[in-house]
Amino acid sequence: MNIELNDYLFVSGLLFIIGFFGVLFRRNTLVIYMSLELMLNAVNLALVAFSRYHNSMDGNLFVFFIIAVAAAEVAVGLAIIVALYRKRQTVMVEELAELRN
Amino acid sequence: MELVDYLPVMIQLLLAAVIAAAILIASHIFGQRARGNYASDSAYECGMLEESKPHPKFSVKFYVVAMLFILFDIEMVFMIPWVLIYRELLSVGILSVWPIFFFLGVLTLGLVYEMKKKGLEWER
Amino acid sequence: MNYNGFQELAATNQWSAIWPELSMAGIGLLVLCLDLFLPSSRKRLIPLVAIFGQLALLAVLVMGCGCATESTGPLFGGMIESGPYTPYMRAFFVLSSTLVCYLGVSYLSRQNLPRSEFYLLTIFVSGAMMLLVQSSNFVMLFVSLETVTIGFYVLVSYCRYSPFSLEAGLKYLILGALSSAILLFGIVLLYGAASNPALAQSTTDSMNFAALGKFIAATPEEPLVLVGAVLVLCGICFKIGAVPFQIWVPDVYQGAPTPVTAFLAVSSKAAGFLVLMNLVAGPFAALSKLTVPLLSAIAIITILFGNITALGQRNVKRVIGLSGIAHAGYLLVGVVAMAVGVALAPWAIIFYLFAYLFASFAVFGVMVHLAGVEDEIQEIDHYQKLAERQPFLAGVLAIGLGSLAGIPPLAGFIGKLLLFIAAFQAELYTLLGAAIIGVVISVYYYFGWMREAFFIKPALPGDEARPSYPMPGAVGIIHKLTLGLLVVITVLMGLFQRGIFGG
Repeated sequence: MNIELNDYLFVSGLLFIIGFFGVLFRRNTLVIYMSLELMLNAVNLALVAFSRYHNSMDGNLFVFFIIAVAAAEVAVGLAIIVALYRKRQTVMVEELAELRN
Repeated sequence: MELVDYLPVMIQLLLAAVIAAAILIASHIFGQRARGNYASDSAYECGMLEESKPHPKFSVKFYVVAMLFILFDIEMVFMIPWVLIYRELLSVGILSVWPIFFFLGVLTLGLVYEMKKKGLEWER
Repeated sequence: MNYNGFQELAATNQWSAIWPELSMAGIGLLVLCLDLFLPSSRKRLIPLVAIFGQLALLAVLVMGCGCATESTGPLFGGMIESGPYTPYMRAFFVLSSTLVCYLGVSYLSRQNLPRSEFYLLTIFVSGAMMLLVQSSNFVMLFVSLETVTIGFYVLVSYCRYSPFSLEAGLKYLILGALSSAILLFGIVLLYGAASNPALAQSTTDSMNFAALGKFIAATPEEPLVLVGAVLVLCGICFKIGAVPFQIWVPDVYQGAPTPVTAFLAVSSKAAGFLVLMNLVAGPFAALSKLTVPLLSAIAIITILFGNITALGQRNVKRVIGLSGIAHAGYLLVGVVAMAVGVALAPWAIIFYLFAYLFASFAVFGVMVHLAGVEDEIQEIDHYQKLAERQPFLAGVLAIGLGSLAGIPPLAGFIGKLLLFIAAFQAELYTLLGAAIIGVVISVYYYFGWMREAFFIKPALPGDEARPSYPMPGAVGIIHKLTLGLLVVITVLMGLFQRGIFGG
């Protein structure tokens, strides 16, 4: 059995969709955050696969930047979640809805 | 690529599973036995029953240091391609040293900022 | 190995061409160093350094705007390419950043919060925006976009003792990261299609806008390209707050500190639109069969949604947020006209953005002055009898809101007029109709706000039971000068718009 570009893309698309629905339907902020990271990693997988099969270095290079940016995003995001947790003692989205009309 | 080429990955996964299982089983066999019961697990062994679950203790110290570590750790991803190629770039007269020094300088400034703002002090 | 290609690329690394961005970074780093090494008694200097440094840069940029700048061509190996709008947008972002820092001074004086980080982040984010609007490569676009977005996560949740601010930060974080991921997936699909050697015109530099544009022109029907372009446009629409991606706007605008709300409303939106313009006129130019109907539909819903939901609001920050959605809709009309090929459209958008900047900052200046310590709760009722208590602020508010609504002698009117002329030239009559209906609706809520300030309501029986709002102090001379200047520019831009962009 050969592993082709389309197999990688299938896995990547699957990961992206799992992440997307995770963001939409999960109620725990931390799980939502993990789903977001899953989406970014789906993108990384597709980039590396394209890069490998199309003999182009741009994709590999872009992955470095995405990893670095994702790390910065995680640092800021977790800081916000921790600050909110200490304030409100919860990470569930239903209980974090004070901004209303 | 043939599926056979992924054999090393397979072996590594198996190895990881075996080691994890071995550690768990060993600690189960050789570890101290404690017959758990409700009274000895509760917060006050003899005293009032707790009304609700207490909030788990939340240590932020480790989290802050770990987060800061990850940031600096990840930035090194930009150094690897540079290290691999800077000699060749220098030999054809491309200045690739100063930009990376500037980058490192900004990172160092970030580190100084962290230390001045007491982000790395474990005991606070 | 052959390094000739590298040498050619290295020759395009002209650091002098991006000196304004470098100076912004320099001012930011200077503020950081001052914060670290100055004794705490001298820390008052920091906002002064931030504001006057940017003012000096702004002065140089405005003087440079007069002389025609040649397009330098691709720089840094095709990462950056300055276009005809670049000098104006640089001045725009520096001006906006200066005003945000200025509003930040009076906001932070009421809060027990770290000071210098606010200026630092504002300056860095503005510098990143200046790079963002010039980027001509998806790697550069993504990195500068994320610098902007991550800076905004921190700024929105800057007030870390307030659960409102943190909640707004969390919402912005989750939805912003989601939109970034969608944008990225679109970029990957475009990259995968354009680098495929099996397709005609495939390119080795497939992240570059020019190379990608050539590829798309050759194969406009490729499904990967279509899906990728739609995803990229969706990601950008998230950032500008167009319907159906607007869900974050009202909550985040309300919860964020007021200067940050102004920053989001003006700079972030402008950066999003410039990126959209670059994409629509650049790589996606051959896809106008897709982009025109898609963006038209988004524009119509955005205008109607923003204006209709703003009608029932009592919180002024939500009003500004929802009317900001409507303004995004008017600007989208301009983008559609640009995609059709009207030469006036990009200049109309830029004029509109400048008019929006001056009017918005006039209104935000009044809001920051009137807000109490908890600035999430600014109701329209706070503005009761403002004309009696503080006639100057009421006048500024009237001109600012009038310009936002598009009342004839003011800048906002000319901005809307230019956009509508562009739409008319592009024969977009449905869009034009929706935009005019939107303007009519918007007059109602803007005047509702003004009526509160100017006309005294007869005292109702229950009025005494209401909490009375703390009387804000007198307006300082600097605040008066700044607001006065913004108002004067708004009026002048409405009267003499010929000279501004050289006719």
